[in-house]
Amino acid sequence: MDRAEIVAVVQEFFKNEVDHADVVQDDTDLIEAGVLDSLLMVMLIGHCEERLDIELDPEDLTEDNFRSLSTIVDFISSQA
Amino acid sequence: MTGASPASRRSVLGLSHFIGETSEEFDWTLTLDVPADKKQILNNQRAESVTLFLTEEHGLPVEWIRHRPQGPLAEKRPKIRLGGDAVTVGVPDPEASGELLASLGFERSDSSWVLRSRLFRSLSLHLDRDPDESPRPKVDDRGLTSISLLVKDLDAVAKTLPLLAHQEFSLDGVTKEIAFFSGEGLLLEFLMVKRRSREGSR
Repeated sequence: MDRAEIVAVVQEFFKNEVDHADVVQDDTDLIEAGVLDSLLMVMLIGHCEERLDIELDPEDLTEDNFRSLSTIVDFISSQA
Repeated sequence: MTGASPASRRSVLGLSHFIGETSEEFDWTLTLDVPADKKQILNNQRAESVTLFLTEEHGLPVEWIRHRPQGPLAEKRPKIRLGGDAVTVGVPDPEASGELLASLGFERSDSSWVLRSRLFRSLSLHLDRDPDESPRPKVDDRGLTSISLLVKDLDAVAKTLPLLAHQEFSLDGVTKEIAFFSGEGLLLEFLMVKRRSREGSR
């Protein structure tokens, strides 16, 4: 799967579902900054699974993998 | 029915929020009908609806509820204790529920059964033995009385546990599905978050 495609899908989620998504940089700590809570993480997981036609391993749905946009894209790339 | 299931263990992502009963007058944000099998959980056979209001206690989300018509509420001892990075809930005999708890991803640790949140690793949920707790817990006590676990796949949990009062509703444009397990001295809500509706309120 193309990394650019994953980036686009993740950014689509942030644009549509996250307040003040425009201030989020690739390495912004999304949890520390209060951008992502557990409900949004679950919605993001569902969004990526649906849009990318993948199934993410629940064992790997860890805080570290959802720390920033970069780690999210790295994680999904490793699973796809 | 409560045998360990890898599917349900992998499905539970961690603590979502607490559930509490209150008689305070909040600006209730949602009203849900009460299906027949939910009356038992509420300890009110006449309950027709439940109103919900979300707030925060010590930085953790709480879903306050009130069922109508409302019966007299008993004052609850602190069943749920919040402290640091741990939440402790008193249950009558967690050892007796060990197989069930293991099926949900809890691990035995000294005298507790512990669920470490996969998505929020810094917060752990401890179930400690409290013999004074009822073996048949119900929501109908004033104060924090229950917990809600966030799950990825509610169907996977339902294959392991007999879930009650399955409901789907939308709040702030987000569709959610809930169902309850009541037994073995445990009262647990399972919550699955679905899509945000395009016409959502955000």
